[in-house]
Amino acid sequence: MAETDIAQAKKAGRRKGALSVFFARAGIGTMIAVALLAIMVIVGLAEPYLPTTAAKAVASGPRRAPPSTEFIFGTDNLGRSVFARILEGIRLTFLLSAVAVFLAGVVGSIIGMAAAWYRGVVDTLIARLADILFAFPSMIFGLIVAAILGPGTLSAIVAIFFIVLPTMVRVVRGAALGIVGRDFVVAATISGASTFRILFVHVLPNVASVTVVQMAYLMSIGMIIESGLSFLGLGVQPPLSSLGVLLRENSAFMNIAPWVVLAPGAVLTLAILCVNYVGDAARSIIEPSQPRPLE
Amino acid sequence: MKHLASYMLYIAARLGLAAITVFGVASLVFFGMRLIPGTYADLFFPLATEAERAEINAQYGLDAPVFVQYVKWIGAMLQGDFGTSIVTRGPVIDEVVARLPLTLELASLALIMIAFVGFPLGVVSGMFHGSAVSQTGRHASTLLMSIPNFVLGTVFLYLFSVYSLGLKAGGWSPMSDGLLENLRHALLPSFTLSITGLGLVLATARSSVLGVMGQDHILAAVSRGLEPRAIFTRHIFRNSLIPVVTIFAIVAGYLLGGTVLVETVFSLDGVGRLLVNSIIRRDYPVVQTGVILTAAFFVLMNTIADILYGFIDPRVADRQDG
Amino acid sequence: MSEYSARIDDLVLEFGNGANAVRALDGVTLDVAAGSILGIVGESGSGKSTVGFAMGRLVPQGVFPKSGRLEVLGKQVWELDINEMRRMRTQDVRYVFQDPIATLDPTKPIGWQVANSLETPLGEAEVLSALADVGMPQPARVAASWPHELSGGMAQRVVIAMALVGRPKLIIADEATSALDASVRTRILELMREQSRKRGITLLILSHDLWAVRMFCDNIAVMYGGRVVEHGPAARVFAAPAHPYTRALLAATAGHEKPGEKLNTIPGIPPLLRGASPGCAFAPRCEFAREDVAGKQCSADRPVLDDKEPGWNLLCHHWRSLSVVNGKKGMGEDHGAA
Repeated sequence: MAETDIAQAKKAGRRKGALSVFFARAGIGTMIAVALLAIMVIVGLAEPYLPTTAAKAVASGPRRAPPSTEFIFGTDNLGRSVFARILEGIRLTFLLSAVAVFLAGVVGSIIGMAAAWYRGVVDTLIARLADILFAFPSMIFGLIVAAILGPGTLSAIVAIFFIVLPTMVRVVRGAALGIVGRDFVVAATISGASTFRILFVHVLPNVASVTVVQMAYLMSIGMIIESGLSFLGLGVQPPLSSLGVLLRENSAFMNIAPWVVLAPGAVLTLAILCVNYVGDAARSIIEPSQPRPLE
Repeated sequence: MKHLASYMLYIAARLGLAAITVFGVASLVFFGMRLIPGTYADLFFPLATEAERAEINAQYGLDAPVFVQYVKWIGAMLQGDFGTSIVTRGPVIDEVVARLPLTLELASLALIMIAFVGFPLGVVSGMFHGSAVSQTGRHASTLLMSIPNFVLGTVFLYLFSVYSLGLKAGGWSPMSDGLLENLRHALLPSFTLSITGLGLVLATARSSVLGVMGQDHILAAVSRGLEPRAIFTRHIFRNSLIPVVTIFAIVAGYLLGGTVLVETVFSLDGVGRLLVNSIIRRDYPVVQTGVILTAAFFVLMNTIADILYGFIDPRVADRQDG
Repeated sequence: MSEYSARIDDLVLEFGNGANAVRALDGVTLDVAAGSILGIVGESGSGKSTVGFAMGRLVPQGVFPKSGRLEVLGKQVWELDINEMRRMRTQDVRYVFQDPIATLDPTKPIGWQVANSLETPLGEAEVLSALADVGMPQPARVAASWPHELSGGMAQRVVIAMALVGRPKLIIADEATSALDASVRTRILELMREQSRKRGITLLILSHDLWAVRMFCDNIAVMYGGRVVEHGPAARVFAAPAHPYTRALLAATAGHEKPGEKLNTIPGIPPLLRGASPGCAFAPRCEFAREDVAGKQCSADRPVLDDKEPGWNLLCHHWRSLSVVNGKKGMGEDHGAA
């Protein structure tokens, strides 16, 4: 009876849901990060329909005008509104990383679960392939992808995909290994469920939380890679403006018009910072740590 | 001694694994580069006729089956022959070696800053859990990891061109022309290069110390009446090194990749910038070599970290299963 | 030297603050006779570990008793400055914890750890004799090995050796055998009894292993809801428990009382106290709880310590009426199905 009580208490705890636990534990910093992130995502999604798009055209205003009420972050060397271009930059930087990280999350989950399920040769092979991908420092891998596919948006997505994929595989494999040996999976196997069914009905829901938290983390890596490649001229190509492109194009004018670089640099840093804070908070729910300070 | 034997076996296994990984990297790069349309002849002699190209291809062995080319290429690399640069027509390895000192200096200085600033700050921040120091450490590490180095570099470029403070933003002076002048040029780029690693090591050291302090053997040490200083030096320090050593290898990766951006921002002629320029100039032999050498170096760093890891934590060598 | 190794008087200890504060000890009163072996039993959360930790003041910084006193080896624990406290931990009060392998530093060889278990390191000969004292057949080999290479039983012997080198007057074994195999468990308990008798050490065995307490302890203290509800000579308490909780505990494990049996067969869960318990903490689970016993309500009036006979006391409003009215009831027949 005592055990039933505990089981019920646990169930009630679980019913509260990850999101409510997240917000219950979040500090003021995390809340601000969540709010800013939400604003950036909404702005990014809505950007093509915003009235600011017109100001992205060349000669929308005077060249290199300092920040004013009309142009919040001033204008660039071609008289385009820096603010309007930053909004597009937010859209592209988030979108490219999100697409790549999401694809890596899906593919990585499948590969990771397969490694945990089949073990043996499959597992070893996957581990070695992951090792090879891990052996490239991420920016260097971005370079080789840009060399092979040519500079462009596709290169950025492919590079991010392969850079975050091995991490995803390892994390999912680790989480799935703990699930595969559990009673309910063994029971499902004995009752003749197909491998597909076991992995997607029984294992996936149990590794999903780890996957999502990891994706939040990898998102910031994706944004750094995307903006880095674009900064080098190997990612998004002008006239499209990701945040990295803005820094690249405008850095020549830093001395005469600092705002053209400071504004996109600050927005990029803020965006990555918010993603990292939210990722940290999400992770602390999965791995709560309770150190005990003693004298 | 049983443990020593298994440690030797562990080292051998790590080295073997590293060799396999580097081989895999080289193969991946080789076959990846084949995906680029056009042959070497098209790249070296874009104006040559069809017959001339066939001749050139035969001369370089490019008419042989891909697999034969692959074996020859690997063989040549093992003898130190990394091919010819399309742009300079000289050996690729010369191009890389000429730029290596600058890149290595930047990376070494960054690593020193990380080890002597990031690590101690992380340890202190972990020791004083719950205090303002600890919270500051946590936020500082997140901030450092969130600033892309090329953003910081660009800002430095601007700030230090306005207020010099004796430091040079952009340009280089080799060590042979005097150490002071060299450091004046190297300090800003290497600090810029270090920030991600700085944040990562700070965070790792902090959480590692926190984690170790929660372990049972620390409680046991407290229960034996040891003073905090003795507990730290005898028990916490070494245990908390375990994840930090691993993270240093990852930091080496950030540094190697970061040089590409930092050298571009500060207009420094190092290996990283050579790689970027070679991609833009379609000088594929240089790209290929640069990438393989960088990856090999990174794998070496990781292997050294693994070996140290096995030395610090005796459980590791005995636990190996493949 | 006083006749008591430890005297605890109405000790109240809380962890955390504000609304999150948890009352771990809700008025513990307990005297530990010098040189005796005392077993403290109770379910998880009953406060037995907290009593053990409190004796060496192993609590988070800034935690002080809400009220009450704790005297160990003639000294008020919370009145010592930190250096005196550390000296007491080094020389007088030593601990043996549950998971022996986790208690040892994984990155140091055994010999080093034994040598450094005091403020000033021991010589090699002392280390080897300390290991031989706890029944290690090959002390030199053990000294050269790493914690992960030892079995749980061997590691626990090492931990006991480390406890003994300080020549302590009190050893607190907190679930020291519950992570071990049944056969090893007995030998470790025998070792602790033998060594503490030989050296005149007071031994505190905190455990939920009733069998161990019955076999190896002179006295038993039963804890529930942060209080000692019954304390007396082990043999007599086991033969005729007076407190309803002790009865239920013994009844629940009677018949299948084996080494290592856990106490989890009484219906209901122990309380998590946020403040002082208004009445008897066991009342909600007690089958004898009454609303009016000689003017006392079990759920609303806190019971006070009552002497059954010299050296045997308990916390219950109506234990007297129980033993008369119910005779042998509580020994197992009637609610063995629970």
